[in-house]
Amino acid sequence: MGSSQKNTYIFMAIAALIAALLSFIGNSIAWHISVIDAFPGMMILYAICLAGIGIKWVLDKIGVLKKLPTFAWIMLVGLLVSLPGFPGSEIVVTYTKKVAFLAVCTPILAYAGIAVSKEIPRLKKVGWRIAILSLFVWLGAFLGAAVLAQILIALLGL
Amino acid sequence: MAEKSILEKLRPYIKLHIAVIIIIVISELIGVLKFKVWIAMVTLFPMLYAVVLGLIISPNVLGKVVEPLRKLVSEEEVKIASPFIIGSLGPLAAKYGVLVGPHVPMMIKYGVPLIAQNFAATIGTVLIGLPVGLLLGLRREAVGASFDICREPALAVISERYGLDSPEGLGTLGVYICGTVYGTLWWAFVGSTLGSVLGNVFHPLALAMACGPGSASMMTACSVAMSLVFPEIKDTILAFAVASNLISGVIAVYYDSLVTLPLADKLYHVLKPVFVRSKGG
Repeated sequence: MGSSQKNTYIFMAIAALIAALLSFIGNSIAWHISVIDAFPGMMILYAICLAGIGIKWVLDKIGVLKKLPTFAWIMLVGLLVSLPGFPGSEIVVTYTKKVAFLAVCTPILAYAGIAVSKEIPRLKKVGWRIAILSLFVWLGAFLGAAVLAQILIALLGL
Repeated sequence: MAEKSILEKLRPYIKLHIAVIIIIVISELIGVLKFKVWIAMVTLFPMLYAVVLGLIISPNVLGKVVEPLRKLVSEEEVKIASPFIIGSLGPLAAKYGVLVGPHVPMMIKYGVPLIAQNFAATIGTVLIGLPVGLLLGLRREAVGASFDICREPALAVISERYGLDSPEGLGTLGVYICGTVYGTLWWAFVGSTLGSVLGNVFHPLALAMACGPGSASMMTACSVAMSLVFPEIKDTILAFAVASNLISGVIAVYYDSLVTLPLADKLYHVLKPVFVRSKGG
């Protein structure tokens, strides 16, 4: 039990490293940012990943905040080290800018596309009515949020 | 002997990553495409091609008919792809963090709309989704489909209240599955088209926040598409969408079960007679 638990964190760390390396491909192909320029930024991002995974590992061990996913901890570490006034935050922000946001997204969606394909038989069972309705449901979410945000921004004079 | 068995074990992982690298290279070579459809700007970008290519080469689609493809990506590779999604979200989470960090002072200033708009998102799903669902001929399924954008928190709420095998549960589960398969594509479409059409009337940050209520990949697709519409403030757009997504994740379960599900239920009883009569039934 204990060792398989430990393996999850190690798997996360390895998978994150592979994803970081895959992002390099996109970063140099689509954004013409040289690997050398992007390397420090990617390493900083990966260090943030490791810190987040480490925090999750420790918290799971002592049984605190178990419901928060690793994703949340990685993000929190990233947020903290880039906060204005945090020692070295300018360095973090400058270097991580060399890693294009879009290049980081592509590997995830490549995996996701392959993984999600097993849902296709289930999708066929959903029926066209709900398939169409889903588009309007999401559209409603966007419009509801945008309209209230706009009203409040205007009212508060922001 | 032992070496060979390790290689044997690694084989599906290597095959999966050959496929992933091919997908990434093709997607990134195509790059960002923008074109104008009537008054709206439609933007396409690598992550969208990646998800479509991944779906297409799968044994459920093109792999069914193309033998060599099935050899590269079989059911086994599809199965092991899922855990890698979680791992590859790591660098994205880090990137999110460093995008949001520098914007924290600005977010405090916009705190009220940033938090409040999340409560309006699921009101929007009910007000638009429920009538459309009834018009399409759905009944109680429409309640389950429209009380939320139907991600994991919604599944939890609906299965506790009605059960996942109830009509309401099927509505939620249906939209959830649709979201998993083509949610990214639709949110990218919404982000670019509504970003460009409403951009003159709405504050860009109001639109950025509105990208937040869905899953992380929906929000990412929407905000990336939108950041290409407003290139001069692209980091701010992304940062506000991320923050909004976080807040919506925190409030979803409580808000859904206490407010939007009862609201959808009430509205259903008000609207149902109207729609059933208009259909002559």
